[in-house]
Amino acid sequence: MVILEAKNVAKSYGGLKVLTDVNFEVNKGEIVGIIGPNGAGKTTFMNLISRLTSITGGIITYKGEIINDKKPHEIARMGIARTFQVVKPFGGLTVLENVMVGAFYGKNNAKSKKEAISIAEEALQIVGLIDVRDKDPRVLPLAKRKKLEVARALAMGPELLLLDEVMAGLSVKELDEMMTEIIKLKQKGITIIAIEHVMKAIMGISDRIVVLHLGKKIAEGKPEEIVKNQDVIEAYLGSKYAKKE
Amino acid sequence: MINKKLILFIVFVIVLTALPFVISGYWLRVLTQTFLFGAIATGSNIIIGFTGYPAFGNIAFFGIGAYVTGVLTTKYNMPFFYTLPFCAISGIIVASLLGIPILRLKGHYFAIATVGVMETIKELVDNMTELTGGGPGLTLPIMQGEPEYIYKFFYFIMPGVMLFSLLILFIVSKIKQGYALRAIRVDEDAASVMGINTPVYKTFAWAVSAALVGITGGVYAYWLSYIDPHTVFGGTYPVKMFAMILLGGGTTVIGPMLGAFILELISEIVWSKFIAIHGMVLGLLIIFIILFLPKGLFETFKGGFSFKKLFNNLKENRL
Amino acid sequence: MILQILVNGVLLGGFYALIGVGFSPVWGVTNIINLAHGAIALLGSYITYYMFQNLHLDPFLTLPVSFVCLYIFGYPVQRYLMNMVVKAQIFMLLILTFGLEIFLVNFMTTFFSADFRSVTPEYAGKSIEIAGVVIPYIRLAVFAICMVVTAIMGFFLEKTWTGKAIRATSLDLEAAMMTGISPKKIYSITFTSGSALAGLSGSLLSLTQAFSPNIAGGLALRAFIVAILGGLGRVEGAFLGGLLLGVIETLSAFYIGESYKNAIAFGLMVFMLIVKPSGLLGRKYYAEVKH
Repeated sequence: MVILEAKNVAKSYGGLKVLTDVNFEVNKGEIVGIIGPNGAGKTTFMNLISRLTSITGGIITYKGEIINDKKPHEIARMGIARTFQVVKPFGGLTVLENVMVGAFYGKNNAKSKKEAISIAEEALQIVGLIDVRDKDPRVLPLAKRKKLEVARALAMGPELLLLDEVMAGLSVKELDEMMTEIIKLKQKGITIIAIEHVMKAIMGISDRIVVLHLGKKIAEGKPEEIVKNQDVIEAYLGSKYAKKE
Repeated sequence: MINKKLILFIVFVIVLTALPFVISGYWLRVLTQTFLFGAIATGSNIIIGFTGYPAFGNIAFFGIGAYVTGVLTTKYNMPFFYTLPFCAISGIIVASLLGIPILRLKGHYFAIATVGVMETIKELVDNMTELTGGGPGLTLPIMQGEPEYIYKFFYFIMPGVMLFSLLILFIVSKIKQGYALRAIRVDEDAASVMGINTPVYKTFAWAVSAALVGITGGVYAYWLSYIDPHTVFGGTYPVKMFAMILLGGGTTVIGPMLGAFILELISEIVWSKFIAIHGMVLGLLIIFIILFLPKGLFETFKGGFSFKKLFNNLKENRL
Repeated sequence: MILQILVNGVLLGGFYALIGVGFSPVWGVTNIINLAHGAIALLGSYITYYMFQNLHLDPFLTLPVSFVCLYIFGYPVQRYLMNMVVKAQIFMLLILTFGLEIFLVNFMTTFFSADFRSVTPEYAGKSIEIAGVVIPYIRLAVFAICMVVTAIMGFFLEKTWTGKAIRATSLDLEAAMMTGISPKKIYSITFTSGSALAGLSGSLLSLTQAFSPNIAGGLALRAFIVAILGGLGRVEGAFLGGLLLGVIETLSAFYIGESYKNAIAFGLMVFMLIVKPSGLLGRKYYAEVKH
């Protein structure tokens, strides 16, 4: 079953085209990785889905409903949660309280504080942050702050989770942990779109990979197909290298 | 810990209640003025400190409240207490109408837009001579009774308003909506993708703040029994209010009130000694706070007082 | 009649343009909204006033004096005050400049008194009449000086290396630093020249109207309106914004009433902020820029 569909999606700022004619589908329960060199339009695409920026062409549908004119908070209530590349925890709130905000306002829409706490605790349990629940998130190391981002998104009760470079800057051990977490989320039935720079990680967990380059989709397929794709190699390494292959 | 705070708070209230029977009329007035600022700073903090929107011109609602009470008591002979709900309602209406367009602005643009609103309302009040008395001001009916009694009356009403604002701020900090406001303060995009309808929450915060500051304005008008547009809309109020919030710490519930106590009492001591240069000292004091105490007194000296911390603050934001 | 009003508006607008030209680049480059701009301008007014009153100097000859004096004044203010907080939250800077404004206004009230002053050389009343429009010589001269200074400022920003560095810094601080531009120097030049221009405009102000320390706030807000109308940091924007504000003010004073002049100016500012915060010519909305 298709949960998210992008049809001819385009985004431009004035004359500058950031995305042109991007088409693809995401099925329920899948992990789709979006990769591409810097400036490929990955984060822009994610901002279009969460509606932080306006769509200038094409349509995006979520569960059969066109979401072009929805507001960010409406998208969240529909069950789409996301993380940010630059981690900004809500300072002044503890780790638990940060996650509670997600429980209060996401699809879960907790009515009482008690309910929000129990949802938040569960999310912290899943990502393994329960032991730092009362800390100020600003003192946590990067890996834990990234996990906090994931927990905050989880507490919203999402059906579709957008992960924006949650693995960037992690050590090998932390990377493995994060990969395990993401697989666990998939097993819970959450559909995931992950933008990633770390190639090994994304290839290891994704069912399908979409490659963006200069605002266009240049390839799509299973991870093992993508690594052999000439266009992709060219986009990443330049044409000289591709020819030598 | 919470009990300790509660005990301290009860002691504070008891001391307040006992004071008027001990101190002179002059100090009663000074304290009433201090509570007035405590109420303004606390009420404004919902939008400024909690939500992170520097509503520089929030004093507009103070002026609106003052004039609502002024006009209702003089032109419509309404008893003072009945006018207060109208002060709150007018604040809520103005904040709600302006909130959606103006709260889209960020940073200085928002700050200056609120100043623009304040100045525009001031000029309008200044021009609506028939209703408001215009530039020369409006004289309210003076409260009946002995001066002693009147002093004490306002001495109790003013902290009443302040404590009421404090209570509202405390409630807001505990409920679901309070979490939304603090999320907005840190990162509005992150807040909105978590399902928070940010325009609505920001407007809500501004409206609550406007209502509280409006009520304070109403009490002020009846207390001084004379208001004019240039005093109640602006003057040194906005910058004093901001300095108080900064000094006490805008992210806390009681910070702004404590900031008001400190700044107002200092400025009163300065005023009584050097009338001529009072304004200059106020300006310098504000510059000092921004340079050395931008994080607030309590946040800076959490682990004890030292001059080194002041200079660390100074170094932090320099180019 | 309408022609006379328009001419008056344009003449006033020239002065507003100069106020804006001093104010707007400071905002654009250093992210400081200098609420003390009006108070600094008034320091210039007092320089002219006292030199005219005590030394009997022609007020126009005092212009370079107030320019230089306030250039010198601006340097320590920038170096030891503004620089200390440029990286803090935006409203800290606002309050800091407001604190400076309160200090300066009270300083002037204490030492120069709150009385309204004016500078009236013997040729003050003389005027020229063209097609029924009366133009006082002084206003014409003030207008001409404002235009020339605005043009020089435009030329400076557009053509000289320093000017280009200033514009680069306002567009992208980090990129500018990578090309070897020192932000400290740029901030200092921008602020001090803004302060010098404020002093100059204050001197000119003293020739056209009565002034007292209490008009400082109104002047600063007008500088702000000009910057908002025209778009930040741009000389041609300040020029356009100044003329617009001047004409709108005189027109509304005539048709709606002198006393509504301020209400309309501030209302216009709020309206502009809501509809197009980047200004009529502006392309960039600076609120998100963090230094």
